[in-house]
Amino acid sequence: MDRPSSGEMVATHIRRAVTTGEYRPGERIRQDEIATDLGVSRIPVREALVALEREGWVTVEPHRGAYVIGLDVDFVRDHFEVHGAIVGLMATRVIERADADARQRLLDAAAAVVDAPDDPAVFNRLTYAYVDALERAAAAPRLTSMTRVTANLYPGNFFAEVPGAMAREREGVAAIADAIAAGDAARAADECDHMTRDLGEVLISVLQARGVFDAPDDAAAVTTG
Amino acid sequence: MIRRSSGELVAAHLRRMVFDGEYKPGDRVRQDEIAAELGVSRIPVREAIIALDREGWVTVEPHRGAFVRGIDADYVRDHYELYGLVFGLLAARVAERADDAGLELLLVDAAAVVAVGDDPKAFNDRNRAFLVTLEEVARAPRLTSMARVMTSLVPGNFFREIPGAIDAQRRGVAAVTEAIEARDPARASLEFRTLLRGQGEAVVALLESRGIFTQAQAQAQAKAAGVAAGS
Repeated sequence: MDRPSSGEMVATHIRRAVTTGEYRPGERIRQDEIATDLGVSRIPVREALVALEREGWVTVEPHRGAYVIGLDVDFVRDHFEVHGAIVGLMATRVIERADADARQRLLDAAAAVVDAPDDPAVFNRLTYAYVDALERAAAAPRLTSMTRVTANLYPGNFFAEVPGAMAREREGVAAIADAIAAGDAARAADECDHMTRDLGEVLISVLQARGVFDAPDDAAAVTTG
Repeated sequence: MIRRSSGELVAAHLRRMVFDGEYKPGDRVRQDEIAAELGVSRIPVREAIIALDREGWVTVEPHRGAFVRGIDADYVRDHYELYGLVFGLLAARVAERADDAGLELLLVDAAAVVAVGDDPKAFNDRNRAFLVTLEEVARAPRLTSMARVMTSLVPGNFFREIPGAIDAQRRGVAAVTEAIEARDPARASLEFRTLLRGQGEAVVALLESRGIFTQAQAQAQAKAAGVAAGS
């Protein structure tokens, strides 16, 4: 696997700070502090902010700084909705464009996810392999580049930290593979939509329990109360 | 007007070079040369490359550099399908979430797109105002930020460059708005996807006529032949 660049490490650090609620909506990103904390120069911090702006996590205002857009329920819901629609489009491209080999490799990778043990690390690796096979079979670099923008909502192992996610993923991948094997593009896209939307709802309940969506004042009240 | 950072200016310059066929698929992006040409340091060039990687124009290979991905007909079709998908969701959110005042604003802007004449500059301004209002009324920052990433396959004024685009946009905006007014999210989304799929086909036709795909294909074939000969 490629070693992540320092810019990517900084981006992951900031995403995590937003999903744990450490950074609140509207808060200014403290670039010097992050550089010091992570022991890097300011250049990778600036690079991370350019990428995060493209991904919709922050707004960069020239000569003023970068500000957290922040997560709310609609943000997470919209994110999963659009991600599911893009993956659904990819599944229809598989049916239109994939050769027999690429398609078989995808179906094998899907079967491996369905049969995977409940170990989150193994499950996560097999899911990555399945997504990779899907991207290759779709032969759609434009869509692949977009899913790299939308795939990063949750920094960390989603399946280890979000209860119920594994079971839903397993069920969804089985249904998607079934539709692709049947050559049914509309059903494949629907199943992608459906699974991704459900995973979004599962994550929303986890983030709600963590208090990530609470207004900053409420959070202060909880801490001081 | 929003002042653009030098990174954004460099990105616009690189997109134009790919669109005009000056940079071919597989070409290495010559970062020092670009910095010298535009009179900027290497930092905004790196920032531009990271943004373009996120947009799918280039691939960054760690420790090797950035390479032009290039565009073919499928790439253009996928781009506009994506674009339709994101704006379709925005239109659906407007149909679901807009209050009467927001809806009124959008209807006024849509009417202006339909009524404005055939001057590409004026048309582009009206269309942009309509899209900005759509984004505001949708109150969906995640979708808005994705829409911002999406907007730049054709550098310059889309409606000047693409023949027939103005008429198609007028019809499409009217259909989308009608569905929003009827509070029908599924139809609003479908109309936007249909509109942008059509615009994508017009871009494919233009690039085909300029021979840009042919060059890309010839290049890919030459590369494949080289690989075959080498194996």
